[in-house]
Amino acid sequence: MPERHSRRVERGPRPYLKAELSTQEMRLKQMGAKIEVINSFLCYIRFEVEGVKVKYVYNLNRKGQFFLERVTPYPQPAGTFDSEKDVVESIRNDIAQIKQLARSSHFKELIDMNSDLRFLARRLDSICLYYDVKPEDIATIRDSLGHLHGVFDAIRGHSDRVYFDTEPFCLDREGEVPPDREDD
Amino acid sequence: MTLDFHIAAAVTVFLVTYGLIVAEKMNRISVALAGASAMLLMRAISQEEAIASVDFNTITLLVGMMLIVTVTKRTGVFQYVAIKAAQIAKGDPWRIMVLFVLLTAVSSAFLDNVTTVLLVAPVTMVICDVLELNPIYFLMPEILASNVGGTATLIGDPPNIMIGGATDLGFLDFMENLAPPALIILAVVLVFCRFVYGRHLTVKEKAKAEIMSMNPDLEISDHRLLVKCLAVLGLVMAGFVFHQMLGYESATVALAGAAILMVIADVNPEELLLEVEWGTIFFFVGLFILVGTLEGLGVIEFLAGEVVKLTSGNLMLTTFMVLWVSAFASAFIDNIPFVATMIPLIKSIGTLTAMNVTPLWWALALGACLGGNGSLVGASANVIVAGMVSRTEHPITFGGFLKVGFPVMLISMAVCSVYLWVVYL
Repeated sequence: MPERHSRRVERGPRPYLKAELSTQEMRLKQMGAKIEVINSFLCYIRFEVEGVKVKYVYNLNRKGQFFLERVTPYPQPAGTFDSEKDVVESIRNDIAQIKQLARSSHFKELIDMNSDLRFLARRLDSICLYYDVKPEDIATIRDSLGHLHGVFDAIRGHSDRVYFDTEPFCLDREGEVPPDREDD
Repeated sequence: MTLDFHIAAAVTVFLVTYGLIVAEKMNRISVALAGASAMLLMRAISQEEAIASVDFNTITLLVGMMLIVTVTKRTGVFQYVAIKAAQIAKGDPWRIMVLFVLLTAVSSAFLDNVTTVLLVAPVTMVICDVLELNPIYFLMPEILASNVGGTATLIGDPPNIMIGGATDLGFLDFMENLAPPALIILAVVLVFCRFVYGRHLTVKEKAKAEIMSMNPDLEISDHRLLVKCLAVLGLVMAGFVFHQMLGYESATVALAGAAILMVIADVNPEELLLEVEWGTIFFFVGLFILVGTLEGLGVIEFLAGEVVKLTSGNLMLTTFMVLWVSAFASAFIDNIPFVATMIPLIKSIGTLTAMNVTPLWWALALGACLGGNGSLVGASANVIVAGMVSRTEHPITFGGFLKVGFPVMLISMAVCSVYLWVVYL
């Protein structure tokens, strides 16, 4: 884990935070950023489900949108919600699904594969940002991803469904982009 | 319960509270409020008297100015001015230091010192990053300047606000009597800092060019809000200048300005009120009740009598004693509780003797405000800036601050002594 993620520092009282925010704002504005600072509550939510630690981070603000993300056992943005009730409902469903999954034998593999997929996404990012990738190589990557999507479709087709309380929102490929990535 | 018991108990509570505030082992707000509650619980002061002892002129002036500043700083005008200043200086570090010191001192004369350093220090750190210079060379002079600038006006520093609230002295009185010594001391600070830091202030041409390439316009986040804020600030400043003539308290001017700004600016009042430093406000409330208790029980009058005996009622001796004791006390302990105690003491000296206590008010203001430069813990602004750079590779240490701040305080006190002697004694 890079040092910037692992190092925790005591930021001290509110005035220090304000000063730090002001310094960052100035640097970012000089880079051309438009910044809006919103007073909000950042909530950390912890559960222990079947011996598995499940954590969420949830931002509550006055702008009428609520952002929720599962942090552990593996990070997964849950999306943007219009009310606190929807946030609680989303967590309730997620907990129920994690509970069910934690009992299965492939839970650890799922966590490992998720981690691998996130690493793969970062590699895609790096390869495109640092190298002049040729069109044929882009096509190869796209084919590989298409193959993986095909595998998911096939699994969905021949496996028994075990959770019915909500509908899976990103198993269909028509929309292509999952809702949590459609930000402004 | 007898009066003697109440006096002994109240003095004990006061000393314990004071000790805990000075020791800084516990939160000063909790301690002050606990001390005030103890006074009420043991009936050393009634609730009505406690409420009457709170100086609402000080409280509302602080709240009003905090609200105005909170809205104004959102516009980014301060960063704009700072970048412009650095560009006027053409990236030359010494000229930037002079302009930033002047900017800090002027801002500090009209805003409280902590707010000023919270506005200046982040900009300074960005500019120093660009110049590849140790930010301490700039931050130290700015801290000193914030304490000096705050001395110059009624609204510049909490001790002055408290003195103004407790006396008939108005904005112009403060400006007329305290701005001249503050200006002289500011010049002393600049010369002193040139002597201490001057040899370090060299930068590459590339860094200067980078300063010139910064765009100050990017800092202004809301032009319409800026116009409204500047208009209200102008009105408030005019209000301060004429408040005695118009028969208004300075607090009324500040609160009216804040109210007008809240009405005309598109800001959420609830969010704005979140930014008010309520901790400071409640600290003041606690202190006013603590000191009000001692005043009500006659303890302050007794102390005043002892001071008069000590100085034989000599105005010059009393003035110098107030000046130097205030400076040394403020260098190492919080000047707010100190001034809260000194105000009724000076009033009692005036009652006990035929002495004109006006010079004592100026001595108290000069000592308490400028004493803040004496050590790192002498003023909130010092502690805040030190806290900001504590995690960087250039922290401000207690010893490091003392080497620069303490001589500046001694020189300042010498200048003030001469000033008070020549003008009032």
